[in-house]
Amino acid sequence: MTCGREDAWLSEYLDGETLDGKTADAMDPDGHLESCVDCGRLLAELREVRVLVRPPKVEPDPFFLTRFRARREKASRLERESWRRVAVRLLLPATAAAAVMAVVTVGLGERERESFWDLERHALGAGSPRVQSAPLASDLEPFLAAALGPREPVRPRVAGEQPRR
Amino acid sequence: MEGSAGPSDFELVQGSRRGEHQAFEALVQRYEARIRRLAFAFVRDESLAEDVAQDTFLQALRRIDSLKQATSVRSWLFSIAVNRARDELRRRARWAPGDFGSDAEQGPVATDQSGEERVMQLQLRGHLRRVIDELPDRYRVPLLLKEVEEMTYAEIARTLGIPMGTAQIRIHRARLRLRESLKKLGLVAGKEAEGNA
Repeated sequence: MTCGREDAWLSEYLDGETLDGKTADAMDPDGHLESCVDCGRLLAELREVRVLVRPPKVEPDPFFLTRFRARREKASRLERESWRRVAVRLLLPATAAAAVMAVVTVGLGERERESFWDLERHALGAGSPRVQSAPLASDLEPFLAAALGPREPVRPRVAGEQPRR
Repeated sequence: MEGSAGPSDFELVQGSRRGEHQAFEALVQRYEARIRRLAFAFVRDESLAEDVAQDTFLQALRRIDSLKQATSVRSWLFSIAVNRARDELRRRARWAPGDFGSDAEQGPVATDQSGEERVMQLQLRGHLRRVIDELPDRYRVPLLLKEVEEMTYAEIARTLGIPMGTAQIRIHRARLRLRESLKKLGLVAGKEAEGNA
């Protein structure tokens, strides 16, 4: 049998526990301890260590549960708040981004429409306000010309002249 | 506590899963003293031990669905408590490295002791905490589960997820190391053998 320092059998013996029955049946620890002074001393010291390490017994605390309930409530409140904070932290930028996107989209649409009118005005050579180059009138121009003949050029009206009937 | 009157641990766990507050609270009442004692063995401070115990139950409540085996409620709770206590020790070491003096030493002290005896007991606790803190985690944790909770090697192995032989060897080595440290402090007399068992 090896001595207790190297082999853990002494701890098994101290704990009154055997891993596989070997210690109690085959190793005869009592016989060894009677003959081996070193192991006997070590066992006594390990007992002292055990006494020192074991903390005092703790009695059940009747208020522990009350404190636990309070802590549970606080924890779930904090959890809810943290979720709210996360939601706000995520939703706020998302909403702001959506708003910016909406403004940009509307702005771009407006610009596109304006550039369409500009292009058309340029094509018709008109520097006049938008109403003069309205797409409906310009689209009808070739048909009207075919049906009614070429249009007379517009002569600037002289001051005091009556409109022709 | 398996085998005692009333619902078993696992029945209480199942009740907790159904959202029955009373079931979980019964589990809390069943284990709070033992969890506080185990936590105290690690942190050696009564109010910290209380914090660790409260956190243990809160964490257990959050993870109640993760418990699979009916037989391991106790081991499961203790493993949570051990992890919380280790976190607490790490946090304390980070914030106050080397400051493990007897000032912070608080714990239940017998009321029938004289002032001198109380001081001596507090000093002893301070020494003990230092030597236990000096042990590596792999030795300290199984040792405290053995000495505080009086768990069997099999239960310790299950709680820590290590082989049973490893648990036994680590406990033995932890005891040998503690014995050396305590001898240096004159806390273990190294008397002659006092008889067996």
